[in-house]
Amino acid sequence: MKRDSHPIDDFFRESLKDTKVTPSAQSRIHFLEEAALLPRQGGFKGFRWNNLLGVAGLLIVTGIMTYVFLAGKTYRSSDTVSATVVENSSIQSQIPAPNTPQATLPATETTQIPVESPEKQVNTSVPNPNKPSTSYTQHIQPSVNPSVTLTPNGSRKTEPAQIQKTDPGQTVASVEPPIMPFTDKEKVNKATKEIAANVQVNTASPNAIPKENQNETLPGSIEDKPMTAPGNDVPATSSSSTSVPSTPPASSSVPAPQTNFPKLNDPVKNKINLQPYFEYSLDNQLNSPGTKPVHTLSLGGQLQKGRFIFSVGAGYAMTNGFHSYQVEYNDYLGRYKKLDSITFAWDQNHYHLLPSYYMSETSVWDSLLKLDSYSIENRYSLLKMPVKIGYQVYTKGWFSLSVNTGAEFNFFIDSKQGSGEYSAGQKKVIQIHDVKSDLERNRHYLLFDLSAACNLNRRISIAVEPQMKYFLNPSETDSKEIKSLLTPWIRTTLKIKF
Amino acid sequence: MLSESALIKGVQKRNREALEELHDRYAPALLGLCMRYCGNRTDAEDVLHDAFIKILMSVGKFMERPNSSFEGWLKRIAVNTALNFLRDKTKMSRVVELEPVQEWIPEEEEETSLAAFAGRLEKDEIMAMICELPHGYRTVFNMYVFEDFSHKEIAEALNCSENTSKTQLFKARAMLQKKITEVLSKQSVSK
Repeated sequence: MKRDSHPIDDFFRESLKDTKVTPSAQSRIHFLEEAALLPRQGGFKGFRWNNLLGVAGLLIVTGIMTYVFLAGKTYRSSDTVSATVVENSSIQSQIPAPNTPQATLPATETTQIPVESPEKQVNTSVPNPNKPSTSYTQHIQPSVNPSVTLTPNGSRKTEPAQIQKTDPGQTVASVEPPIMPFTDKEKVNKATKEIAANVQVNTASPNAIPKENQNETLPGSIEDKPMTAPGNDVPATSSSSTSVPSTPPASSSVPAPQTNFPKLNDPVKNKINLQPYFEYSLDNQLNSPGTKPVHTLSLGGQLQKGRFIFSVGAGYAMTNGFHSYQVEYNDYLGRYKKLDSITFAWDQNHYHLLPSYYMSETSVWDSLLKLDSYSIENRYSLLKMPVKIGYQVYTKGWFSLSVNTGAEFNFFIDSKQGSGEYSAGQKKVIQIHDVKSDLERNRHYLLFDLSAACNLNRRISIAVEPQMKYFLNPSETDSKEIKSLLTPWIRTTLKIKF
Repeated sequence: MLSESALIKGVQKRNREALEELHDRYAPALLGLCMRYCGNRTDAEDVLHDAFIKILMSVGKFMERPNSSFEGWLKRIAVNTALNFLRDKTKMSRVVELEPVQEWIPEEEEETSLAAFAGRLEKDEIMAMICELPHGYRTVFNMYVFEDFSHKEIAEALNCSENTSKTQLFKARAMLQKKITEVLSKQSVSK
């Protein structure tokens, strides 16, 4: 349809088409403040998802490859359980008789040494007298509990000794210091002595360690191998940390240690131990009773060197929270009969008009705008990525205590609205404003925690971690509502290692 | 000064500088548009604020239409926001217009050339004339004259008949003509 042209239209169009009115400064500030709170848009979300998936995949692949590599290395080094070392004729005269009390430590003290997970490498060798010996080692099956070893009578006591490799032609049963997290030499020596007391090295050679060397070396005892009486010279090659008093071994056999839980990773001293794991955790904020707990299922990796721990992870977290809405409404005032129309009919008999009134029921609401609010419980999904470094303060048996610090990154994924609708009754709802929940955004924290963990078996452990978290990126709404950015939390975890 | 594409990307990322430039560049024109619809500055600034929030929330959708004019898209959002505001305001109002809706279109009066008076009136005065119109006349006049809506589109937007739209436009023109005459006569008297 052709538009009609009118001078008034042209006049006003030409006059006002480029009219600009400068907004007030207050409206500008209000707009900028509110705009900063709006969620970002664009393809970055997808990009961020791809990056996170890539990182998670890389972590998993790295963990699996490292586990396979280390596990394979562990099994390769433990293949030489059978005797391989042969002594030469000079050694044969140096090994004491099995029942001869030699090089046994006085069992004056038995101290439990917190050892990481030492591997006892003492090869039981069946020496061939006709072949020169090259090394002299005895294997003992490793024990799961690093602090438990076998005494000569078969009971568990302290760490078994590790027989040191010596020069060819020499048989030296020296005790290597156990792998310990501390470097106190006196403690090491003491522990070494006790460990050596429980090690019995069997050698094929009938030679025994000379008396003058009994204070310095520990031949140990080897099963089923005859030993000569003490008196023959055996050069001492022990290091300063491996000297032991000369006491005979209690028995001639090395009972096989109980190994219910063979180790998966070889905790060799000075090497980094990588432990990937699955974890379920439950986080509760302590100073806010209304805050719902956060359930997290995650995949992580822990690097440990000595007592120092570094852990990272990525997990899917879920929590519930309340999403608020603000309602603008008018109050209901009542009903009345509204006059729609009147018709008149002429009454010829009475010479007047007869009106007919047409009415309808009409509701009336107040014009005053009022505000109301209501909340609906929603479920929020987050991607949680903690990064922590820690120090293992105390370890004893299955229990360990460590302190950790680091950061926790929570990326908002989506929210699912729960059931529940606003019941307005007879009020007239003008508009419902969505008051954005603080949970519908990324929230990052600095954290510090104290972790008390208990290993149920070699794979499963539980831990309780009281935490303090510092909120790194509060919004303006957060900073007005929360009293402190530093909040206490309590976290319980179930960890499954693989 | 950012280019349009850089400005849009910055707005999407909620970059502070981009938001400031968006407001500084387009807010004056949009506020003028909102004032023509709302009739007063207070309501116009509220509508402008709501319009900008809608713009920020839906700027991604504009990116999907590369051939569209960004300023034109902004103005359409502002117009729709103003219409929604006026619709809600009408619901809240207890005032019922008693003037019946005419179903016939009166004959056009003799057109008066206003070109001679264009330079004699300030923009503020002209804007005030628009703002003084009843909101129904003002809405139809704005939609028809400034946004180039057809009567059919106006009727769909305002939920009325085409004849009602035409009648309202006719009356708006008549009132504006009368106001211009009054203002000009006052000016000539004051001189």
